[in-house]
Amino acid sequence: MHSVWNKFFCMTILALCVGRWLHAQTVSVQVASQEAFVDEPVRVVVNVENAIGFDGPFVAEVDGVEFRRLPGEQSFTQRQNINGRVTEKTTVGIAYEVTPRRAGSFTIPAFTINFNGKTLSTKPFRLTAVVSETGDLMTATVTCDPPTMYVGQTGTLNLELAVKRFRDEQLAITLDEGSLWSLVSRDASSWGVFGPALDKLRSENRRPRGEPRMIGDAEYIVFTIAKPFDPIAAGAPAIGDVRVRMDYPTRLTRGNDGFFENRLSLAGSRPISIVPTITAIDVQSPPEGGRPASWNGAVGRFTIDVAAKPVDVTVGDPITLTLRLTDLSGTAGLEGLQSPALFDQPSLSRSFRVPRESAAGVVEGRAKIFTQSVRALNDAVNAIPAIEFSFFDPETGSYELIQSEALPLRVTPSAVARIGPEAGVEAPVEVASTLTKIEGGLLANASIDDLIGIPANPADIVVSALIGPSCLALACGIRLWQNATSNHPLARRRRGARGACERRLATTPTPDGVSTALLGYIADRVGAPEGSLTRREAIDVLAMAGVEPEAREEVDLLLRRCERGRYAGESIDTREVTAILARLDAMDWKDRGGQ
Amino acid sequence: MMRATRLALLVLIALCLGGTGFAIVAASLVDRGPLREQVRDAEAAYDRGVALMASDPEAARASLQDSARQYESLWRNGLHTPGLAYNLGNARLRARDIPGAISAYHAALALDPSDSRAAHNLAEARRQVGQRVAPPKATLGARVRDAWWLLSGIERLFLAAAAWNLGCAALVWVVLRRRVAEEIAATSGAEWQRATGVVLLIVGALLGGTILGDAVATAQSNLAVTGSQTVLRKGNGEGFDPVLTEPLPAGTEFHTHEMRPGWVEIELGDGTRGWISAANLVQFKPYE
Repeated sequence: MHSVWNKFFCMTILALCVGRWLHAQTVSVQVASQEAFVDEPVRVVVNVENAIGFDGPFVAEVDGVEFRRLPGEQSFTQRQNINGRVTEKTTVGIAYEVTPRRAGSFTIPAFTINFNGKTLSTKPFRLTAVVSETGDLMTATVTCDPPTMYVGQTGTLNLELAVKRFRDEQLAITLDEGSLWSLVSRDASSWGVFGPALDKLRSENRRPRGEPRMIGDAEYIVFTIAKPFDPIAAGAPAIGDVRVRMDYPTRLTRGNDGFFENRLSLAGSRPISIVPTITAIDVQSPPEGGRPASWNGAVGRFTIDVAAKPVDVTVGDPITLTLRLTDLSGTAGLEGLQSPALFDQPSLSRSFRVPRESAAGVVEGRAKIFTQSVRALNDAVNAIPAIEFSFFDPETGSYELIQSEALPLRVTPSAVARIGPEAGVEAPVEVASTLTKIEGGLLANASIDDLIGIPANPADIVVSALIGPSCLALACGIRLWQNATSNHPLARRRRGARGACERRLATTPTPDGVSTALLGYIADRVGAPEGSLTRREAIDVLAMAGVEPEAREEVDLLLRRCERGRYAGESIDTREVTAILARLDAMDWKDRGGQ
Repeated sequence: MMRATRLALLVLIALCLGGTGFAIVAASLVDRGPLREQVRDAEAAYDRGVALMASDPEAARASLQDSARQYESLWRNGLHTPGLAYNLGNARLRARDIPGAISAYHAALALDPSDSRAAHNLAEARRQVGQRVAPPKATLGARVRDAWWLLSGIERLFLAAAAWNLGCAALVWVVLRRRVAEEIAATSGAEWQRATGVVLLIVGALLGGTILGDAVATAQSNLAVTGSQTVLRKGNGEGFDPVLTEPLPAGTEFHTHEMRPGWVEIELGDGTRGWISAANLVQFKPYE
């Protein structure tokens, strides 16, 4: 029974998992329009479903068509839960701009992706491109009011769309302003920065203002779409992608549609498209020359009024300053207008504690109002000094510095109450007296010696660093040379040890003589007194000198044989001794410091 | 022979110890007279500018700009001292060149992070920048540098030279005294002498390493400021949208990152990243 339930449970889990994750991968393409103008991009979106981590998309090149992948991807996931079964679909959209560079009909090949070793493709589609022959039917320009501005001012950016008035001579009808605007394709056009303004008009069921204007000999209706312009940088304004398309009428007809008789409709039209030209718009930064230290970006013509409340205070009490900056030029950007930096005004910060932070203001009509709280530092203060405000006047092209009027103030000392020694005696008043450190200001220059410094020449430093190691190397050289040429008796014995041993062997080749010669050799090498070593001591000395165990063994055996030969009459081959000597002599003996 | 060895020992140790002072002696022999004259001229122009500030601001500014130019000339001629960068910053700040002043103070602090005067005047320059953006925070490397700047660069240089050469002297003593000791059959104390020598060499090498570290950190400094009001954009071109609603004021400090033709990617103190035109970049690098 248990096994049946287990199987059922496993199958349910498996079904849920499979239901959740197994979906087919598909690729599709969305095309904004299959008809386009030459050099006008068409937006194409490739949608990839349920293929996370795919490679691509790829598309083959087409002669006369340019593909540009737009940055970023749009990704969204859709989850559905039906009776506990969860399904999930993930779609990634990759946008392209497909721009025909010549007129004609093009077959846009399939977009392909690679996923898990499979290649998935969209369907090819056709794109027809025609040359827009706008001619003099429509012009578009972007103008600015005023045309010359400074960063910090506000103005209006206008898109002026001039459409030639159409007259059907056969019907003797001239299209009015509203009819012409209705032929402008609002959805197929790109409006760039003017899009929000146009959307706002549309939401209010209005259309841009159109007014007749004679351009040359022809009459045009000029539609103006305006947007507020608050430049943040000098140079030409960025208006985004603006391209206007319309179906310009070529013929009208009058017909009966069943409801209205004599209804006027479009019998023929031709699509036209235009990109606006930007007329000379000059946005400049206020000049740096003559810029006052207190200038904080204000451009326009201002007055400053300051009010203080209360004006009768004790040292340390808060006084609320209300600063009102009124723009007389009508062009100042009040939203970005900043309060005068009160902390940086020495006349105020010397006598008052002033917050470092600038106050956020409130715009009222053409004025901006800031409030700040200051506190008198001592009772010697008798006025709120004039507050400076500087601005750049675009009309005169110069910086102006204005001041508010000083406001009289009455400051009384802060008092500390003390209990008098006698009842009924008024407690003395203690006036707080502190020294106030003035922050800011430049410190003095560095002295000439500080400025010149110590001329640490890199070559001198390198030489300085090399002197020590050079001396060390020289010392090692001396040591090696001395070792080689030393006249010290121990050194002489060491150097002549082998020769002495061989001479002894030549004169006395008996076992006793061999033993004496070999022990003498070891004593000479280590500087031990002559004839003082026994066989055992000699082997110990060899071990201490770091002689290899095999060599020690050979020496020990030889010495043992010599001892036996002394009594048993065994002879020793001196060539064997000479070979051992040569081997010992070639070895590096540890220096035991003459022990 | 023993006398000759002792003589060699004394001579070599004397050379080792004398090596410490070699750089000082060599430096003192350099004729600094002409340089001192140039510095005096720049200082005189600065003092003249400060004196005229109240009575004739235009003449004062011209004199301060002249002083700044003379300091810049000295810098270009290879006099890269924190004091010179600091004085240049002062001259520029009084001449209302706030971005230039901030970058000069950066150079002064890169060369000597312990220079409290440069830090103070940098804070003053920052106060004069219209819209304040928090300056970039110190990197981990800079904080490590601050630790070894308990000793000035020149102090560490001479301590390094002294430790290095003393270490060599100790090892010379070990090597040659051993020979002398062999002859007089006495070898006690050789081990600790050798250890002392090695420790001194390590100390010398470490202190020398901090000098190299200073040079590397200064050369790789990527602090810079905006030379004029500029828009921070999302990409390297005028066509990219602005990152901030307001333009960055002149004198805003930041770290530079990637450079592309005409554009540079920057990071403000609050971590905001974006691109500005390279023409608006002011950077006053030591060793350039």
